[in-house]
Amino acid sequence: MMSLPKNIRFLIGGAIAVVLIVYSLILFSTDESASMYLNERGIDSLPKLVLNGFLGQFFKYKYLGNLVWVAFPFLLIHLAKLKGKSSSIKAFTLIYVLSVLLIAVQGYYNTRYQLSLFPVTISFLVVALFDFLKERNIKPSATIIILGVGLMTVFNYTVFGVEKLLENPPEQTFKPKPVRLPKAPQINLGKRIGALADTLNNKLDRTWPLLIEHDGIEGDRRHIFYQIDSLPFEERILVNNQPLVLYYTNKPGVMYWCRKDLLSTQRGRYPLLESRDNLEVRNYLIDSLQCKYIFSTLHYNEYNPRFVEFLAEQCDTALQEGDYVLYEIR
Amino acid sequence: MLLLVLSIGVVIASFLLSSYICYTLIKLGFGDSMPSTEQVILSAGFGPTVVVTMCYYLLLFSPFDSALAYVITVLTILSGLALWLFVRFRADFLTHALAPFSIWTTPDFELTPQIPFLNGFNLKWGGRHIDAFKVLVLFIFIYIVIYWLEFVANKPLTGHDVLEYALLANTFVDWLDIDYEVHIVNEQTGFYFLGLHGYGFPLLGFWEKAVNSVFEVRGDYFFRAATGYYSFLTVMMVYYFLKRQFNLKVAMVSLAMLFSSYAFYLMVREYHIDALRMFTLLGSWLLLFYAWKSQNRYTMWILGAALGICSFVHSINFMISCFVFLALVLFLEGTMSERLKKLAGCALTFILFGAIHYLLDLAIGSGWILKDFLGR
Repeated sequence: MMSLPKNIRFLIGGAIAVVLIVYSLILFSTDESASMYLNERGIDSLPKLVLNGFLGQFFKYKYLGNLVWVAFPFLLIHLAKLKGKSSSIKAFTLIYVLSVLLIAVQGYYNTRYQLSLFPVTISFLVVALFDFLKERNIKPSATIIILGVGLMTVFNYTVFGVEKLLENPPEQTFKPKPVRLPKAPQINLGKRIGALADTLNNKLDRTWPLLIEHDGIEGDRRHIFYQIDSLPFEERILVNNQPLVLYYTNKPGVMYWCRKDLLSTQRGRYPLLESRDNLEVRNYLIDSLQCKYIFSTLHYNEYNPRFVEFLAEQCDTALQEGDYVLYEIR
Repeated sequence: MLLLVLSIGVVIASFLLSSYICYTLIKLGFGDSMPSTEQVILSAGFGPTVVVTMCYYLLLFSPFDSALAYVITVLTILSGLALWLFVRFRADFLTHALAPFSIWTTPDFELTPQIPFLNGFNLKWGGRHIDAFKVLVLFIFIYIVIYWLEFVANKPLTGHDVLEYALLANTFVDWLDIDYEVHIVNEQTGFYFLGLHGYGFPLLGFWEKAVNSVFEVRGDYFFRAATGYYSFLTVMMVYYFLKRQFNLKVAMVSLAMLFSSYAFYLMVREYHIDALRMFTLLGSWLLLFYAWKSQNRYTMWILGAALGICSFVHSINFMISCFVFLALVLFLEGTMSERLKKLAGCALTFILFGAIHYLLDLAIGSGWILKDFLGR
């Protein structure tokens, strides 16, 4: 392999500098005054909105890796040289550019949408990069490629590893109540091996809810769904953006999303808290919607302080497992 | 347990039949202008969506009031069509489906010398030399398959979006009907469908649950498996296309870069619509790539159907498919009237295979993305 020409070395050096600057700009700045929703989506300041949001298909390092941004300048070069190319290349470029713009405008807040064109972008980048090196008669060895991609992978995943380590467990604002589990069948082995039977029975008591035939969610969190199933059928549950309850229990519900304060019913979508005080909300839930319970998560509650206020004033915590909470309306 | 296995067997059999139908149609349209591996990958991915389209039209006209009648109808049509295509054209799906694996059984094709850190690595079995890289890849492949099966068997559906689609699938099973209404609410459960997108993914769940209800079993294993299945097909599609059009190095580096990103890892591992959405989008672009070369009437029909199916899965895919039409109108060969003639069949199959959903939703349903504008 020939040594890198001076201008290429400058280009690589400059690129690394840009990466570092943009990285720190995106990852290590948080606008505390912005809403929780914007913070979680990583679009809580103008530079983050532009780089993580509108240009997120190229610059959302955290999810899409730290090299995909290189496709952006290559794309600009490709567009500049488009004149004189075949009609099929022009057609594909038009489709790709319009798709990028569509996702930039309509999907800037959602990593999943930004992932839509990712395989195409990556393929374009690799092909353009190989062409770029070939034009300059530089032949990267397989070892360098493998090491490069390997290091990049380690780096990409390390970002998440470090973040996970720094993550604080969610604060529990409500005191959990002990969950009453269904009684397990007892084993009677007589007095002689009574101690063994006790041990077995204790184990059964603990594991019984996990063994019963009931589609459950992630291990120990399934108890709460079993409990919800045993509630009186005619009393509905207000479900705060958690379709889990409707899918895994036989309990009828009413869908609600506290972040937008929107109920979703046969009548359409309309606000619950707006223009009602807490007592009126309680009466509306019980009398009009036949809801006696509310299912939510501590995390979701934080999206709407007014909802938290209502829960504190008009509801009791009936059950809590991890982040999941079932409230009983007083 | 036996009934569950039977139910899964019926679902898999239906998808094999529909994949065979897809394969024959693609083979007839594209002939040798598209490599067989790509044809197999596209058929395996678009196959299940043929069942979805059949379910959609059956539910739209809702002639029956039992799941059994729907299941029998779909299976009869599929079997009849597959049999007719086999007798008429005898497309050899199985040989081509196994073709990608043939390099692993070809003794004179060695990959080890091409991989630097495996150079000089010598494996022998019963006195015969074995390519170390092939063994390595085979072990990784087997490990991934076992891990995936274990994962699908044990990890329940979680996550807001995928459960919305699963609940819509349940609702379709309850109703055995698709009605275009302003608000889609299942009064029995209180489920309200918030999504704006087509029914491609939920109907995949509907088919599995309809078969399950015939056998009186519960489960959503194929619905769970769809994420891994379509992720795998997407990866294969990218790999074979790049290897064929460029070279092995470009293909391998691209795959390595895909997997180096956390988002792609999430896509593969978390049950969601994304894998299906991405596969159908990239699959229709792949068909566009080959259709562009031939530009005949049949390839345009197939392209239109693929774009329709892709649209039926997600609104963003629908909008991107409209961009594809725009590019075709602007850049196809010939005069404008010739281009429009070529595209007429393409537009028709596009509407029939999925775009119709958005037209109906706009006209008599929720109003899609114009619901506020239309005051619904």
